[in-house]
Amino acid sequence: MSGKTSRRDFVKTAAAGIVGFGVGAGVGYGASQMMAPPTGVAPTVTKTVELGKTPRGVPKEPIKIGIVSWFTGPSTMVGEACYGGARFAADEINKAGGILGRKIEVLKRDCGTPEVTVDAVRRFVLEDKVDLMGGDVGGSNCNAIVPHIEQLKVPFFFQCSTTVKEVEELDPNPLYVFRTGEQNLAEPNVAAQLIVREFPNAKRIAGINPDYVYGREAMMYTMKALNKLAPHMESVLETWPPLGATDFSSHITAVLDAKPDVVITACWGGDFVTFAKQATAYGLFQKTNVVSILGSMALNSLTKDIVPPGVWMLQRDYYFEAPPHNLYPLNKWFVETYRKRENKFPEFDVMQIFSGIFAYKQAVERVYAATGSYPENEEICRAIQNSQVVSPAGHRVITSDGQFINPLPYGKTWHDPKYPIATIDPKTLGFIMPEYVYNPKSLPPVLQYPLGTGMKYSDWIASW
Amino acid sequence: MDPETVVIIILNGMFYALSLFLITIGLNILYGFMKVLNIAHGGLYATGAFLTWALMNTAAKAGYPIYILWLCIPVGAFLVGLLALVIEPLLFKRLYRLREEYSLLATFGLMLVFDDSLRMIFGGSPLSANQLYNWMGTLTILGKSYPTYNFVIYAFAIAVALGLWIFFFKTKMGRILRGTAQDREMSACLGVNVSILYTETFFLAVFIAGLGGAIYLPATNAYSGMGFEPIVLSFAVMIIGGLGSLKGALVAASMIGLVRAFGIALMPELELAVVFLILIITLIVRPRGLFGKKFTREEK
Repeated sequence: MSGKTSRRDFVKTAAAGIVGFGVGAGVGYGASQMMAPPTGVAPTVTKTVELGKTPRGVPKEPIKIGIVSWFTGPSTMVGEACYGGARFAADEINKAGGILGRKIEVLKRDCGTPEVTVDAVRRFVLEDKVDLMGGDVGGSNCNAIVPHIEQLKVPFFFQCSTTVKEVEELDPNPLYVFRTGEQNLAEPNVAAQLIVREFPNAKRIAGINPDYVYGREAMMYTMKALNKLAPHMESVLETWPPLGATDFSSHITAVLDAKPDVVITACWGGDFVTFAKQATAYGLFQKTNVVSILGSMALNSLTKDIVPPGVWMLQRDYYFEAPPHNLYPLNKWFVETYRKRENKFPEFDVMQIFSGIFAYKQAVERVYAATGSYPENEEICRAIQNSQVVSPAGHRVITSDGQFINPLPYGKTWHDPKYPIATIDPKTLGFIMPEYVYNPKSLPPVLQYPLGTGMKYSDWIASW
Repeated sequence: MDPETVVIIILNGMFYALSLFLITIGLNILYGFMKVLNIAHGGLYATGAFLTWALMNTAAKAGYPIYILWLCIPVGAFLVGLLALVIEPLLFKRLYRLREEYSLLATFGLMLVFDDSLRMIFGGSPLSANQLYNWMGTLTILGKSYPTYNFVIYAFAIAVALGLWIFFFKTKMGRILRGTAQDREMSACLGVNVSILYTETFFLAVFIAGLGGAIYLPATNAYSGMGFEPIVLSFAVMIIGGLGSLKGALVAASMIGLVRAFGIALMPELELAVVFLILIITLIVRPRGLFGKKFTREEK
């Protein structure tokens, strides 16, 4: 063994880290409260200042955040939400003095094909020297950039878009990858549980889902879960409009002809708006039950003349009225401030990147407080893992593989006179708990259900 | 499948067909008379939808009566037509004498310019103008609900088809235009101001593209990138019907619309495949399309 103290040796002898994982921390509100560590939570912080070396001082340069998402084409609304959420977080942190005095700058680059997305990520790191990245880039782009992120060693906070393949095969033990939104295939699981809860006697299920990997897998995994939870339910028709379709009339007619008890749709963005408008005209909502898996992405476009009362809508991991504003002032502040900034209600992508940036800030400050040295990316990422962050959606637990989790809201639409859009009827607002959604491998022990390790998502469903 | 559903499927098929026809017809005019393949047509279609949304939104907020909202459709299309007076002299005039590849590349670039400009001005969220769609309500046809507004699109498309047929085949200007398409130099020698004639024809094609977006807006919504999908299918319609043929565009669009509607009901997995299967069969069996002119030796 050489005379030099290795990091591992040092960690053994000089570690001052404390592992803590508390659930049920106190609730604060406003940016100042978010910046303070939540009560009762102590994420892993390991002192790694090597003996004889000067602790790293706080860099003078601003912290750069690179947002990679769609800023052109039909998914532009997704990029706008990610970028808007990042700028919101940056402005709030800057107002309060920055991260250890470092101000934040937010940059953006367009994604597109996997090649373009990889290029955007690499240029962010190699040319712009960003400190962290984030964005919703879609499933195939996510799969393409994950290996590069781990290689470039710069944290990336995904909003949604992460796939089962990414979680199980491409990056099963991530360090720099964080999923601030549900992994894509958690949603079908939520949809299946909603259907079993709300329509236990339904037998005939039909689907109108976009014809690409997400739409196909959303339907397939929903049916896979339903086959286990309610074997009497069967798929009677599955239609596949192309992504960006402007005419759903033939799909709606075909589905109505199949006389389903429940129709599942994973159409999102402009597709869902068009679908809902035409579905209303064809009487689909009146004649059967519709469960929308991802329509809530177009939250601000779902006006009352487009979405009638009574449509069941999943909200991914955030709905702007949950937790209720009177019980949880942080969410009230978040919604009101975002509306003032953007003249919009915050979509789930906004909350996801917002909580990701605050988790980053929290980790930097904690490691610095514990070690007296400005942390490297690896230390920041390890401090984020197995921690939690106070967010507008409530406390979000961050698992050892970088998954941010919290209860997943859903509910039935109604027309509340105080809002210009169709919202969720508070009487129907429900939550699916994470332990019923995620693979137990990614859950901390207190949330695991059922207990198990190394189990693949589909195997888990099959084990029900 | 019950007979009532078959009737609705046919209506759906014709709705899709006539929407496609409205987009394709402008493309066909440009190619048929000027030999320009204009991919930016999708951008002009999208511009029609966005401008009409802006007009309708303003009118609805100001509390104007419903007939004013109807007027927004032709006004929106006319505003798009005015764009022709800018892009035709700046770009297209230079493309008339070049090979089709040049116009494909140049107009693809223009399409991207349109798409980005619309996103910069109107943002990335889908924009709906539902007043007319809701005002028209739904009809009950053989016990099935059907949106009444779809019949407006049928009527518009049929009126456009008839109007264009009369214009091209029954008016003096139509004859001059057809003659010029056959021999530009000879027309010029006979005193036709070809430059102005082309600008007028270009205006007509762009106006119809804008009209397609404007009339379709109430049934769908305006969103960034909305011009890309229709332009791909419009090229399929053009090829199946025959490049430059108005009659071919109508027949091919109807074929695609009906086959697609029945395909979705009977074989939903093959929705897009059936459309392009027709295209492939056409290219193998009748490469010039159903109503296309015979290729010259040079074109072959």
